[in-house]
Amino acid sequence: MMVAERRAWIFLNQIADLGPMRFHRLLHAAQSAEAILKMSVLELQQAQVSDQVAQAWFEAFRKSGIWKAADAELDYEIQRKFRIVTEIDADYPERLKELSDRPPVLYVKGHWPVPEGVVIGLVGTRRASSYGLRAAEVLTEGLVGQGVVTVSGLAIGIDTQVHRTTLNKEGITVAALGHGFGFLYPKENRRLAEEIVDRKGALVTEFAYQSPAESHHFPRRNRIISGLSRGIVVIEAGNHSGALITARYAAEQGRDVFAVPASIFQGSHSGAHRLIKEGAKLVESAEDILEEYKPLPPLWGKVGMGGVVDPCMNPPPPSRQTSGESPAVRRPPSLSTRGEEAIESLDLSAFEKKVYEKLSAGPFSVDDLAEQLQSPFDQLASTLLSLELKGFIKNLPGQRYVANN
Amino acid sequence: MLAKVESACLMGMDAAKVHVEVSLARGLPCFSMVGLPDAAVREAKDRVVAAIRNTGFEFPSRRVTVNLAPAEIKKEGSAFDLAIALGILLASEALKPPLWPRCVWLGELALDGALRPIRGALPIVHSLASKGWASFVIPEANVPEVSFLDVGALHSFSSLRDVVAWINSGMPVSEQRPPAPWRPADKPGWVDLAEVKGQTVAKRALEVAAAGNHNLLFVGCPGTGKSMLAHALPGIMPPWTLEETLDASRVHSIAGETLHQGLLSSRPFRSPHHSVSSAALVGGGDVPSPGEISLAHRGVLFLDELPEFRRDALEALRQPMEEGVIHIQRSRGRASFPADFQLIAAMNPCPCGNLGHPKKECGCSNQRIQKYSAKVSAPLLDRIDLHVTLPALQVDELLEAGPNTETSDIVRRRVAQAREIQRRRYQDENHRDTSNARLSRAQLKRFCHLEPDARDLLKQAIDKLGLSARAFDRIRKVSRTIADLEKSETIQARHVAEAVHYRALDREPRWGF
Repeated sequence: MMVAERRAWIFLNQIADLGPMRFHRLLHAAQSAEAILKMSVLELQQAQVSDQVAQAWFEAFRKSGIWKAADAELDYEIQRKFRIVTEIDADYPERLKELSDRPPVLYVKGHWPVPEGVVIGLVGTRRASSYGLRAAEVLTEGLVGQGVVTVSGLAIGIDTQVHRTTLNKEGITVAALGHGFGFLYPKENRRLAEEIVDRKGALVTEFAYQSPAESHHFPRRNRIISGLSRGIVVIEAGNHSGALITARYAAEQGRDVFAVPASIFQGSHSGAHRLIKEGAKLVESAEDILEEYKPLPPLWGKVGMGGVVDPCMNPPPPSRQTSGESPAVRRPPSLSTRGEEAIESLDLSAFEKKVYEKLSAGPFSVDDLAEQLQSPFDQLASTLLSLELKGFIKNLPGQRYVANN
Repeated sequence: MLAKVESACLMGMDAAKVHVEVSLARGLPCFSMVGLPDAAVREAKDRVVAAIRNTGFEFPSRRVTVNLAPAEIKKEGSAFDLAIALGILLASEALKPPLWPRCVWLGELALDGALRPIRGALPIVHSLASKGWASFVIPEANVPEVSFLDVGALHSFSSLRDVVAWINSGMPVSEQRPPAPWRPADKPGWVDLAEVKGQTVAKRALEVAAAGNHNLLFVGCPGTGKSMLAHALPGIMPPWTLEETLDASRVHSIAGETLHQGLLSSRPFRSPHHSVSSAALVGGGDVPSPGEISLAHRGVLFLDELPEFRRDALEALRQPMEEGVIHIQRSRGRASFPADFQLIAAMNPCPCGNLGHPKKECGCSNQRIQKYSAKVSAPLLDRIDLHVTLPALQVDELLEAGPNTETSDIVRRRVAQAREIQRRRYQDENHRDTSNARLSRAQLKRFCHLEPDARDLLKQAIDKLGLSARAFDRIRKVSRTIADLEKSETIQARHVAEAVHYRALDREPRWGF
């Protein structure tokens, strides 16, 4: 019974023109997906479907071989290529159920469901500046350090930076895709997608296996990003950026919207600034985001703290602390630089400290450093390499270095 | 009725002796030429007939047959004119010299009997002299390029009339002239390093490249001075010697570029435009002729806007970069030309050029950037030891000279010392050139031993910075050069640290592109 109903859901999810809103209207009228398939043209029309479409669907539901595609997907599920999570399945995310246009069917790879706790979506432009990328990295690091699960869209630019940083910090990240699992877009992130799946994260999409990436898919996938999250952080967005669509969805869905400010002279941030004007919370550090969700759940999901719990196999109860700050909660690092005393305690030579202090103030080219520190390049070269190998600084494009906070 | 005159033709960089045999016979007057002549040689007929008449002789109204032996070599060019004309005069007994010594006759004839310069006089004379020929007759205009050669007797004339007069006078051997003294140009007009603002790292990389003969790639936004720095490279390379100029000028002579100015007075610097075809870059043509890379032999080949070059042209660079010589096979012959050049290339970081600029925005998509950089193939990149990113300059840096205003002269002295160290270290090696960049794998093992801490550092750098494995050998070679510049016998950690900085493109992309 359940099997046949699921199959009907999966079938209906693949019908063109049958979007989530219409699906839910039909479901409301017919009570079950199987019953939708048996509706007469009149009944379909009564569910506020135009005459033409009703006729087309009526015929489509009665064609021979209609189950082929749905059965193929069920076969894939049996082969464990991915999982299919319909709204009637137990592990359909609670948070998504709040949406009126929730996807009837989700295709999922990796660890499912998304762990309970604070889930934050971080989105931004594909054409990210180094400032935006750095902001994404710093904020993500701060959030992941507190056990936050990140969600983004696997696009290049900010999205990639968010996923990548989460993985580097051994956190959990979820990517919502704009196409079926028969594809992967963008191609250069194929490796990243595999890593997300391998490292306790998940890929999720509402599109059937054979749906290619189409431009109108991506705004739709944005509502899944915001739907899965408790808050959305817009990091770098121009006036027409998809990140703004995500922010709009987030606002409609009752999620918190955060935005990262930047220079007023850079057009690529004007979208984020508009959000701030409209009431989004201005974010300077991960703390600005986290304070909205206090008290934080204990760091059960945090990897690398010993006693790693696989959230998929055995999701522990989110035993929320009712008051007070958890002793395990560390102060998240912020965009501001480390203090003097922090530098003093580091195991660095005097010159290394000097270079590191300099680089804490922002990116410098090697040329500038050589001039300002009055040091020949060969000496500087060894110092920079040694600092980089120790993880204190990092190399930016254009022969520039910056302190790693 | 039969006469033989010696001449020569070019075969790639070599010269082959050609016997010009002329036979006169009774019959209807006609003039035929056999022995694989090309168009220019066939046209010699008309030039020779006119030149002989205009010099005051009668052209024999006989059946004239000219054979260019050996018959299987393809002859090209106009250098046989003089020999053919003399052969006809001898065969018709218009000339009756008392003796006919072994001598190679070269020259193109004008219709009025004047002798015109020929292409490739330098390599022909050089090559035949090394095979034991001691006496040459050449056009006056070819003297500047040949006069520095140490050959037995070099006679130069400006017309057929003068040649005939000299023959009739019994061909007195003129005083053996010593090779003319040669000096490189005083001020070749290269950019001086002191004129380049800022860019300390790039300047240092240029010095390292010059010291070890390493190939170098500059990556930087427009206006960072990539091209200016490239034009400073010849000025900091070791002094230009006669031996080198003879070697390089031979190629230029074949391309007809030394006809007027004589030997190259300074290091060749070739900067072909990026629309250059692969044949023009590496050499080619129906009968193979040298391309830009051979014209840059012993000098600098500058490829600006590297990714804009045609893919096939860039790929064709790989073999000569490895061997220092280019082998060209064509339907009408094959040839090898020397191509031992130092490559310096420049490219923007992305199509719009603003990637990594602290102020300007880069408007390129990831795909476009990848497509752009993928135009330079990994195997080509593999042959470039140093890649350096140039930071964009701030306005105040442009206005005032930075603290490091070393002139090219100072740098060149250091470079020359480092080269000398290398020359001494590798003098027992049986290798075409003795520089760090040219070390083979086996030699690398023997000569580029790293101190333990240097080895540790390199290992860490490769692990942690995501340097590719191929960077390993490159860094060792470059560290060797950096140590040589410091006159250090051993390769220390600091040398490796600096060398790691010159592998900008090997780093794992980590900023989302």
